Amino acid sequence: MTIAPVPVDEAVPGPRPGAIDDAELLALYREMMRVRAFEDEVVDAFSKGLIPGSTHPCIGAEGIKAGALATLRPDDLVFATYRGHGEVLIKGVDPVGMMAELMGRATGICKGKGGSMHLSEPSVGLISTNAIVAGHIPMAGGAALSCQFRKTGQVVLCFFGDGASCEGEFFEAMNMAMLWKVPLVFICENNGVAISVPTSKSQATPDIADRARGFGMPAAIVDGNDVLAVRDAVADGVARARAAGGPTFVECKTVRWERHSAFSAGGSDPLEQRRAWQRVDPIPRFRKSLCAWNIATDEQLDALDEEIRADMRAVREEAERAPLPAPESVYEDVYAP
Amino acid sequence: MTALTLPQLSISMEDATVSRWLVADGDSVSAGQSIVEVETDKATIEIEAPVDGLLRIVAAEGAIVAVEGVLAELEPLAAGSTAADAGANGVALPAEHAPTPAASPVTAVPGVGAGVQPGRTGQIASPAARRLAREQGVDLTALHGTGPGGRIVARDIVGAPAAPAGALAGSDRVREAVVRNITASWQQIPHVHIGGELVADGLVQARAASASSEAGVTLTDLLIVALARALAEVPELNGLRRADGSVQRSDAVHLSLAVATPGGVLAPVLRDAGSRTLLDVAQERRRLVEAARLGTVDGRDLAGGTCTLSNLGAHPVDFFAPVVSGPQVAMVATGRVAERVVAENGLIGVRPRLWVNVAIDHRAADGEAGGRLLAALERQLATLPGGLA
Amino acid sequence: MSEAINQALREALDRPEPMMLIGQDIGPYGGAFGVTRGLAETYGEEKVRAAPLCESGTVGYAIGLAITGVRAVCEIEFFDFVGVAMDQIFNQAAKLHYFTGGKLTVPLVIRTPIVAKMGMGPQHSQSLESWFMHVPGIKIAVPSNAADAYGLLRTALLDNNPVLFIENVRLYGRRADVDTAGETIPFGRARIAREGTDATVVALSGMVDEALTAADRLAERGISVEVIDPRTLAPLDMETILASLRKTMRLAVAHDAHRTLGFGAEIAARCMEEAFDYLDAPVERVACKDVPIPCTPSGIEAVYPSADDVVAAVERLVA
Repeated sequence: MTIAPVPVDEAVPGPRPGAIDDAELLALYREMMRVRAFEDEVVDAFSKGLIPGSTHPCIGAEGIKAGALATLRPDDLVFATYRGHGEVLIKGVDPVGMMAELMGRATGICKGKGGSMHLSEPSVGLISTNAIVAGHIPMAGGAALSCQFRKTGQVVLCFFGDGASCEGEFFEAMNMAMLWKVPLVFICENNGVAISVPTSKSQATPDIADRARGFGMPAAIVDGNDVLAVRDAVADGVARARAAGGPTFVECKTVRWERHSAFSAGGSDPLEQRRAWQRVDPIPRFRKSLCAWNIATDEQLDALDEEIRADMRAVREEAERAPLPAPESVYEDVYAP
Repeated sequence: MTALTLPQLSISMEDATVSRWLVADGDSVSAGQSIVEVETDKATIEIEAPVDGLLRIVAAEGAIVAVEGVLAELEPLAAGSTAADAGANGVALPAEHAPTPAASPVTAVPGVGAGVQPGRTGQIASPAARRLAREQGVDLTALHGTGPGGRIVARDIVGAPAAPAGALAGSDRVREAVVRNITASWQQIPHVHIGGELVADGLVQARAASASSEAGVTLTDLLIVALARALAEVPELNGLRRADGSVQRSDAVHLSLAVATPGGVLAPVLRDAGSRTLLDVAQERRRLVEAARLGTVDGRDLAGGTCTLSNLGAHPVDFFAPVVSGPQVAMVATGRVAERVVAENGLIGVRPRLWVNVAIDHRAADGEAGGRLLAALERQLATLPGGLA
Repeated sequence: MSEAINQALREALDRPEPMMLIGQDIGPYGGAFGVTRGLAETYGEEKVRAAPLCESGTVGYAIGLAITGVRAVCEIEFFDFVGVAMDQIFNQAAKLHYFTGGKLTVPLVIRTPIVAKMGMGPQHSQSLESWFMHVPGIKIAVPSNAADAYGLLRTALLDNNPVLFIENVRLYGRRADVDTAGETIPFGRARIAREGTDATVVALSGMVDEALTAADRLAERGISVEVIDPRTLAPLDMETILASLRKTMRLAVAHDAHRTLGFGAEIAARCMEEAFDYLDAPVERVACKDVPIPCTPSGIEAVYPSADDVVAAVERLVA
């Protein structure tokens, strides 16, 4: 990899960035921690049989989610993958509704019909997560074309992984996005592995951003676990899109959580894999910066962590109490009225 | 009491118009029988009775009924009987009793015992034919299939859909069915004919004895009675050949009577010929022959025969070899009663004689059975005068 | 028929609500078969947008438009090319409304023609509608004439669901009277193209005319055939078909698709399930042989069904 996430213990906080105030910095930390706490509850709930099917935690990639989404207006649109709980939560979807959806309950945001991989809340701009790798990318392109066509000034973020970047639809979508200069920012989470296959064995070149450059698209590669770097790169892309300058590609290098999904086997050495992502964990890394810049102390951040974890515990408990959908509900919503 | 309600036949349906009742108020109906036609915004649809019962119509023809509205009510039939035993006029008869002259018995099964369902005897029939047979009360075992591979198809059930209930569709359809049956019988049945000139003294005497009564007893009636009794002695010739080659023998004799009509020969069935009095036979024979000639004979009257009598004695016919009517296994052909010069104990005499030919499906029985039937018939003809009740 | 389709598209494009047409060659060129002729001139190339050659991406973009407030009509040039876009159609468009619990709606029409009997060979000749009958969540319309094309497309352009609108290149040029002020044709309403009493033929798309020709020939021999055109396969008007079966007791299905698991297989199963007691003969299927479709005219003749095959099927039904 040309850029790699910097390990936490080697990270040296740079100077405090000027164009961002304390509240925003804390908000970034807070959002990352909310996602972490939620996903930890999810993993635990799954291990207790409360979440059917499978689920794909984005633990370790919170920097990308929080950094990217911090650049958006409320009416901007987001498309994400099945590893997109972070995007959904940060965009403003009710966490209880989300957790209930993962648990297949009637009060879930999709009435229990979608589960972990099919989340949607268009009222806050979270159009959809998707279970088909790269399946959502052309749709995101179409949504951006729609914003352009309707002249709303909205911008679309489309999150996907390195696996998706090998699918044909990915290339088709990029070609059309650049051809028509749609207001779209492609955000590629390159975590170095697609289920079991490392990118060294699946990609002709190590940087996925090269592909975007092949279409003449402006592209950036950042350390995905540096939340501020992600934020800056995506902000550039959002500004370009908003100014009708067309799409941008931001490749965020990161390291995947220990397994592909809560359901998957871990591979040969789970402990080694756990150490891998923890070594570059974006949350303690950012904590280091916050402390260095005197935005907050460790004790304050510990207290904040505890508060957030308590919140998410309550969310999970409330979701657990939610009712299951009635059996007849399987016949509903096949067609729209 | 079971209500028949209008089902939701399509998502958009809200109501339907009762277009035509296929049975009358008070009729007994069987489960699965089509009893009413309703018209929705898309199509006309037949609705079937959900259970056996006596029909009490609630929604008249022309009425508009909402989905789940009541069309009719079905009252349970009298205990111990089934709809199959009930007569057309709604009178329920216990299956084991023989019909009396006053009633019009319409059992669906010809004397093979109550409880045998039409169509369960190994006949190959299309689902539509089975349904029609059920609705018409026709026994499939009595039919010859004219469809591919001998399959019984809808047109083989006389009284098939286009016909109004209770009447033949038209002599053309009937004729067509008869021709098909004759053709199939001729093609498929290996015949053996056993003929003999029988002593007819008793027959002539009996005829003279009954001529005085007003009952209008004819030679044919006497032949029916005698033949029915004779068949009781040779049961292998009184039954129907199944598709697997076995013969389903019948306890009762239901004699098909070949009747010449303007549209061609018909063979209405005189049921339980062996249990009836001569007077009853005459009355029933008259009814059937008249109905056949007028073209009003019911589908039920045409089915269920176990053997056929064809009498051409009104013409100067001595002997003829008829075509057995499948799936029956025998047909008895009689010519005229004629005075013959005979040799008796070395002396010449003049006696009434009757040529009788027994045509047999050789797959089901041998010529020897024909010989025995002729012997039995000759005996019965001789005892006719004493046999009148 | 192509003019009728063009007209229906114009009427929808005239509406104030945002709408876009997208597909290969549909812009100034007017579409591979000329169906969108003149639309780009009238409405502009942004609204009648020629897309690059990427069916999957194009359908995906069309879905993206539809779920964010822009009604979309996507053209797939030949029905055979639908394979490239399958995931977007059956996994995405068909299911988005369902798995989001109703949060997203997909007002999308995918138009595509059957190019049967044109000699274009195995990859440019197929009728694949039964693949989509198998997927819950997608509606399917198959007009066989100009009037139905107009009425059904108008309905599709008002529907908030994904609709696969299957046209037929051999029928594009067929003329018929079209009442442009008339009613839209609702989905799920079959058309009885010809009444009859002895047998029912359910025919689709190009086979409707063949069935009517066959019915004429059979009428000369005293066999009265009822021809039903289902017009939409999802929702499917089984009621009209079953009512006809109950009347005639004999049914054949005729379609250009391959025999195995074609539309006829579903009809046969449903007739058996829902009207078993009315079958006087097994359901006949008149269909394309189960081989890849050849280019050569003699091969096409051998492989595709025709009026002769419908006649033979009805003869078997009434035997």
